[in-house]
Amino acid sequence: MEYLMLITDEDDGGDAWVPQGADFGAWVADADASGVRIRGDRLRPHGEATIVRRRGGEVLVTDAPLSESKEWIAGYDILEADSLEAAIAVASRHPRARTGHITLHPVWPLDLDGDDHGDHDELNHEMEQGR
Amino acid sequence: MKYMMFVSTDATAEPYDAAEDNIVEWVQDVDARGVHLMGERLRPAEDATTVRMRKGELVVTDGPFTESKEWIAGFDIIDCRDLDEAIEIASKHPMARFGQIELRPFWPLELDGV
Amino acid sequence: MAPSQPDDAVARAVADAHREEWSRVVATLIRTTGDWDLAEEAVGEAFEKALRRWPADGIPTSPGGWLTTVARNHALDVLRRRTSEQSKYREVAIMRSLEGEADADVEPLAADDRLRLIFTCAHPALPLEARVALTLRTVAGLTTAEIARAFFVPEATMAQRLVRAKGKIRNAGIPYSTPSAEALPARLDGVLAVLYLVYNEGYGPSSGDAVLRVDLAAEAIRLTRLVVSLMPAESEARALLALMVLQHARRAARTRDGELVTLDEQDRALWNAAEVAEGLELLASAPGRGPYRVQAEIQAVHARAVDANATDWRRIADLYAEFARFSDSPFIALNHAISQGFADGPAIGLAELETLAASRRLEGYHLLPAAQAEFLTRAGREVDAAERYREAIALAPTTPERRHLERKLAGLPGAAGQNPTPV
Repeated sequence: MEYLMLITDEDDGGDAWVPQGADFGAWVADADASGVRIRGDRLRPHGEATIVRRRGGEVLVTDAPLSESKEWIAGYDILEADSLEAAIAVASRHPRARTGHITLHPVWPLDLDGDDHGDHDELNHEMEQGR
Repeated sequence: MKYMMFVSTDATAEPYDAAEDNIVEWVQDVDARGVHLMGERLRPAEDATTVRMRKGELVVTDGPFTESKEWIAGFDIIDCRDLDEAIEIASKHPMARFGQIELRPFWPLELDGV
Repeated sequence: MAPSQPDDAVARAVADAHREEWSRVVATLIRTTGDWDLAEEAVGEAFEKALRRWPADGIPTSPGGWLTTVARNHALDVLRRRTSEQSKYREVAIMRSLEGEADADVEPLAADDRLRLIFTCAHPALPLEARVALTLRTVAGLTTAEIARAFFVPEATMAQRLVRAKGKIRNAGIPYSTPSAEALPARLDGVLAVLYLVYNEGYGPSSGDAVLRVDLAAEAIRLTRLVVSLMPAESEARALLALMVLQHARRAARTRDGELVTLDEQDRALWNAAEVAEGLELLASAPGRGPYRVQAEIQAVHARAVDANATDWRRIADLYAEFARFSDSPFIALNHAISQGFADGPAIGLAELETLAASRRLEGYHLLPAAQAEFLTRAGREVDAAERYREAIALAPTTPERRHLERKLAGLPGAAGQNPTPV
């Protein structure tokens, strides 16, 4: 099963903390070696994000206001694990699990050939729920 | 430059219209342009799991650890010329209309200290 | 070598060059070096050098060319001294860009580096405050200290804002380019919005030492002139300039002995006639019906009236109705209601204002009760007017505005103008 693993630190995520390679190099090496980790990268801080929306036919581009977010996603990894338990075990060994938290989002593949419409309706329903 | 696109819901967006959801076309377009590295839809918020280690104890909780009512519905990783191209790509994703897209630049480790 | 004293001519030439060439030289250096900090440093060095060398060597025929060459050489020196691998790539890139030309297909507008600079500073991915600061620093050439003072923030805060902005440009990949044709309308709106914000900031509350504060309104006008000169076909840019020039022309009449003088009371002989004429001419050459065009037309109606009584309020009311279609701002609605009152009589004005008041969208805003008081006075209802003036006075955000309202209250006929006995 594939997961998007998001690494969030519970520091203020501002200039004070710069996630260094040394912080998680050992974890990356282990996760790569076991074949669980497909890829992963560090991400620039939330203050350097750009939000894109389309409203009323117009493209709206804004910066990401700091005050709106208490979560600071610092990086991501893509995991391929046998089960959620296995993914949790890998995630729990990440150093940021101690100082922040790790979230595992199961991937929900789209059927891009369009044969299976059940998934689309389910997506529709889920998005309605999300309102 | 590589960007993570976090594709999220947004309560202020237009109501979802399945007929207008052109995700298949979008994926085909970005693949053809050679800017798409990977991307996936994600299960809804309640299917996420949060993992923390506190005082040596594993703490697992249901759902994302967020107070926000918005959730990440999918992600894509793109590699394009600059932010303007990334914005153009993101603006054509159906969720730009029914939700919002956050573009996060990658932070390569070789640029530590920068 | 002892530093030479610049004589007056040199000082003037350098100041002129700063006003006219700063943005051009910085813009070119940013393109050729790809490094905003280095570009600013190099250009600053070049101006310093001008002050030192021009007294002896004479003022060059092309100050801009001289400054660019000196700045570029300084930048190259700095880059050569950096020993990392990256700087070698950068040097090669600089050589290439010095030889190369703008890619006309990708950047239809990029004949002038200043356009790249202006559009990049106003990029929507930057927070609004950062866009304003960056525009004033790199396009207007104001120092960080000057910008900080103008916006009433500590210099360190403004410096940090600029560092973050340049950081985001670098880290998020904001390109140093003019926008595509597809993106241009929205991006130009963004540029104009920044300039208009700077302009209005110039008319915001003033601190005690106005002398030390840069004239933001004048800077905004100068920058808008630049945009108009670089993009002569853009009607809304021209309209924004007209709007600013027409409003700015009235500045000498806005205060008397430190007190606020509103439009209806201003001595129109104090309006700068040449600037009014320029504003009207700009307006005439800006076709279309965009929001800045409509606002500029409103100002033009005021400008054409020989005195307050001659104002064509019907026309202004119609223009506010048109303007309201662009934005549902309650402040526009207020101005619309006021202009209707002046055009069609106080009863209409009061009815419109009552609707606005009921919507509560202007709760706490002093100019709503002030407008009600104005029309109540005209309707002969001085007691009600006095009550509204007191309400407005309590809400007034600045001393000059409060004193103005107190004068209006005191000016009401009869006992209505007397303040109530303090409880």
